[in-house]
Amino acid sequence: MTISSFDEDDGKKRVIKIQGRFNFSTHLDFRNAYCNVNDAGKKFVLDFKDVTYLDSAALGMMLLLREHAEKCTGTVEIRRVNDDVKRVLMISNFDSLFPIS
Amino acid sequence: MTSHPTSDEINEDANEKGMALVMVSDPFSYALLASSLDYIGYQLLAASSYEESIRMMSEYDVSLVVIDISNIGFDWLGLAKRIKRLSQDRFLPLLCLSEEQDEEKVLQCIEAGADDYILKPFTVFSLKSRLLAMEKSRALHMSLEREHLALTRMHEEVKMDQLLAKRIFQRLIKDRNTTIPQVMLEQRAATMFCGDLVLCAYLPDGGVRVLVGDFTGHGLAAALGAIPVSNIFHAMTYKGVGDFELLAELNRKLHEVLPTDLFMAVCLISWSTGEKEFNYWNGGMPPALLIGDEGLRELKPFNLPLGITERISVERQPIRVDVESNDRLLILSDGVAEAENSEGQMLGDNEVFRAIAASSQKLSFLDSILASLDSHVMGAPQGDDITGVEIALWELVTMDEKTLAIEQREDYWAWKVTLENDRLATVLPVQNLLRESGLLAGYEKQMTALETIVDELYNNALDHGVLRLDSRMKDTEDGFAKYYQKREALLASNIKGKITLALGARKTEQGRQIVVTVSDSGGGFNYSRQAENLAPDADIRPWGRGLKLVQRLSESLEFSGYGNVVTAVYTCAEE
Repeated sequence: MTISSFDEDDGKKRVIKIQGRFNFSTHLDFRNAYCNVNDAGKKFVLDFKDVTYLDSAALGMMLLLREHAEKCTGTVEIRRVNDDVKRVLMISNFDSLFPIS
Repeated sequence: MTSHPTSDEINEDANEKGMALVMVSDPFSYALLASSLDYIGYQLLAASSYEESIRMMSEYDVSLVVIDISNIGFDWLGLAKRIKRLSQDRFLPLLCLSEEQDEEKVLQCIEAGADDYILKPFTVFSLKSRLLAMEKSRALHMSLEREHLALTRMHEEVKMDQLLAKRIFQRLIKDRNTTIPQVMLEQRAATMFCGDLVLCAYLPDGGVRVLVGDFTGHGLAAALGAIPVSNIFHAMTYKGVGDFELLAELNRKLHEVLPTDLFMAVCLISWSTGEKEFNYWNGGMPPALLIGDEGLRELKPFNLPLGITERISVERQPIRVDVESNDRLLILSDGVAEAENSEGQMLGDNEVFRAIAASSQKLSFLDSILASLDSHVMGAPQGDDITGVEIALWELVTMDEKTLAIEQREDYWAWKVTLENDRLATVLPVQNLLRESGLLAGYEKQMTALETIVDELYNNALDHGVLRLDSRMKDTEDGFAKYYQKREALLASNIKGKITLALGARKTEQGRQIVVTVSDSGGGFNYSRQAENLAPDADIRPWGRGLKLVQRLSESLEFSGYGNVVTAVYTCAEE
């Protein structure tokens, strides 16, 4: 499994941890990591510590997560992102949609 | 396809098992087999020889074969092989009946294609369980077959879709692009259809606009997004609509039609005639590279790609960038730096910069980068679309004779545009050319007449001045068609020439007047003989009506220079 997910902060946060290449081949696993999490105000955290590569399909998948989070008045943020992946996020200006911590 | 029962049907209707072909000579076994198969739900077909078995196979829709291999006296092994060969496109269970001492024969028979065996004497229940087991594998075999068929069909459909996407792309996008000598373009698609998009067109003032886009995804999805983008780009550029308005409209449309996870990264460049700077807007494309005598400058993206948010940020307007000596602008899609070799190593930005630094005078930067890319990937399969655009900005800003001047006073204005060479073929309606400037406010009622005058004079200058076509060719029906064929061919070739169109407005005692002057680089003509074309019978000839029409609409129509300048004065009808 390249994608794992778990709750943190007494269930206030849902962490989705991605490993390796984050691209279209992971879309089912990625979707499964959040599609049944509908708690109001949930904070979704994308943990990018082990992401080595991210393509435009992954950016699209992040937008789907954002849409899902907005439906349940939640938020999405990114943590532990390395420089290469950060560069892709900055080029696309996705830092304006997803706060990076 | 013949209808074989599926495992569900077996359980539902025990009487509809189909036909069982049996080749059994010992009477006791035959009787036992016949009653058991009848009990299970088969109709019996008994064959007594090899030939009869084969004949029955072709005559009946057999769904089970039982061969008694303990009999000596016929080629049971050959029969097993033949039956399997005859039924190779479907799953036909073949059961062999044997005696305990026949172990070696059983093995041979299974190797020849039999699916299972049963020892004599057997009970109806052991036979039934063997048959059920075989029917299960048959059901599996059939569902695999169905899926395979469905997949093959789907694969064909995907291929058709790809072809359609490619066709749409070719017709609606590539064919509509204007070839601009200062814009070089290289595109290599990863799949049959490219998610990368390059659009280029001239602005009404003779300026240049280029859009480089990269859709998430490939194939039909990207093609569907590309259609409105191309339509909007060309329609709005033709009308001279500003960069930000164009981007806002593209964003609005893409947000409306694309699903959440699809969007388009865009880099938009536009340059207006006479300017020493250009407009730059980048949402999600890699930084564009500006390279010239001043060195290399990276122009970073500063916006989201299009189609993500409902509106694009008004604060992030296109920025203006000065063009310095020998500047060229490179726009590369991410597929360039991310191109992988067979070991999965990317080309990388550093290699791109090295290729730029190493490019010789003769090669463009683009050629040099692509050569470096080719030697890096060494033919490894291409994972993403690769697009590169190189714009010779310095050549654009230093081009002479692309003049456009507007002079305006309280009750007087003058406007002039010069078109050259391959730009001559496409003159825009005056209305479109001047709308942005606001000069035509108050002249709305005169537009049709004005348009006619400008069109006729311009085409006259183009056809007879620059292209030197003889309008007397149009005298016959045949010649009429030939004239336009010849005109078309000339326009498609590398025409050389120049036409200047000038419009001026002034107030006189007769009312407001618009003066239209058209001059061309052609050889002119002896205009004292022009009277011939304006003679009363000119109306009924199939040629020469254009100038006659202009003469009627205008206050005056005069030739000057050596016949290469014509001036029409139009007086506005006062309300």
